[in-house]
Amino acid sequence: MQRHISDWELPPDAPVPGLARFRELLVPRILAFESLRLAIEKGSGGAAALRDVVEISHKIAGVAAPLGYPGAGDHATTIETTIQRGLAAGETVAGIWRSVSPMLEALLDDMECILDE
Amino acid sequence: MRRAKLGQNTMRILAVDDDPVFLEQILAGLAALGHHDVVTAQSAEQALGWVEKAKPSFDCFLLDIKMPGTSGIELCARIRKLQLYRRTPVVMVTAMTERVFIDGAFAAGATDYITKPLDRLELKARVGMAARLHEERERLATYARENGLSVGAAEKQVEFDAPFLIPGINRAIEYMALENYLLTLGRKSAYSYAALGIHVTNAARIYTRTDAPTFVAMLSDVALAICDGLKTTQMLLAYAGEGNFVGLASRSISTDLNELEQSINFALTDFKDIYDADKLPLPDVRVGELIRGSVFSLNRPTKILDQAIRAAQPTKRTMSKIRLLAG
Repeated sequence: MQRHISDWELPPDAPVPGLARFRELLVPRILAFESLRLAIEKGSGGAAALRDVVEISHKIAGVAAPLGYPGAGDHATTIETTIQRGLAAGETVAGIWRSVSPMLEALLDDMECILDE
Repeated sequence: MRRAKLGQNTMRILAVDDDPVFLEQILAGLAALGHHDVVTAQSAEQALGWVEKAKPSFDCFLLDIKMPGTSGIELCARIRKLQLYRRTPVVMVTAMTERVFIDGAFAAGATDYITKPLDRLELKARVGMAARLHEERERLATYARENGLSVGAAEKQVEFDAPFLIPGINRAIEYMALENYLLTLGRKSAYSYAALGIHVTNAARIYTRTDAPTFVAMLSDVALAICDGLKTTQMLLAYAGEGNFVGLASRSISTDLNELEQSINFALTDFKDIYDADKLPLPDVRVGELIRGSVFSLNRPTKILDQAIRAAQPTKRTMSKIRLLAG
């Protein structure tokens, strides 16, 4: 079971390590996702845009759960693995995107909820 | 770079990851475990800069595999090429569990592996293991100082039953790293591997008749002959002590083991003049059976290494030959 980072014997009032930086990065990451989504849906992004989505998702997947956001972490992991498997299997960008688009929507919802906290 | 406050009697750690959020998490995680002397870098290039000018040197590395530019695996290989860091614990960190990355990391010299997101218990276990390796090196350095030896010379004063890294062999990794590799894979993935034990039957005799550097050189000769015999077969090789090598390869390995044994022993005859001059017998090598794990087994994944070593012992082999002839 993944433990929340606040379980790590930190002083009770100590800020959760990485949380402030994670929050700072939410807006630029949401904007980056939106612009990549536009590019892919217009057909101008190609596989490079999908790899950029993987890169951002990978970072979120690696840190979200210990910050208290396991849902966002799971969505990001699913996006990362779905795109990587699709690209490795030689699927088309459009085909991969059909699977990934609703997952990205869910991740963006998670990110916006965190912003609203 | 961020340098946390100095601690006492703990490791000096270099943590490398391109995600600043993760670096903050790992700094906190390490601090909670008592490791306060931690330097961080956000790229392999920045890390190599710190490695070059680090005084005192680092005692442990935590390297993210997936980074833009030079990857953590390439960084690990470059660190390993530096004499000072030949045996320093390197723990790879990544969210990816695909075997292709794990294979590459261990082949590049990693000693262990940890997955993201961080789990405190896992971090404690992995960093604890690295600390034990570090303490072992510190004891060796103290021994060297007290006995007026270089650390290199002290390293060569090997115990017969001690596993150690065979120098100068590309495929060779530390025995503990091989165990960690299997533990990281877990029972399900470890099923896709096979272990092969290779035993130097007269290792004890050679050990008692020569000095440590010559004993190590003999084991290097054997390791080279094994690698030659395996040709293109992908196999990680470790020396487990007491004249035992153990290799780990894909379960589908199709090497003819009798032919491999003959090829290794034949290759060693090239060194006959050297062994004659040292008044030592040529190493005699026996190759065991391939040990494949069972997907239904409840044993720990490293059990196949013990089984492979046992399967290469002469008594077992002699018995099986007798059984074969009898029946």
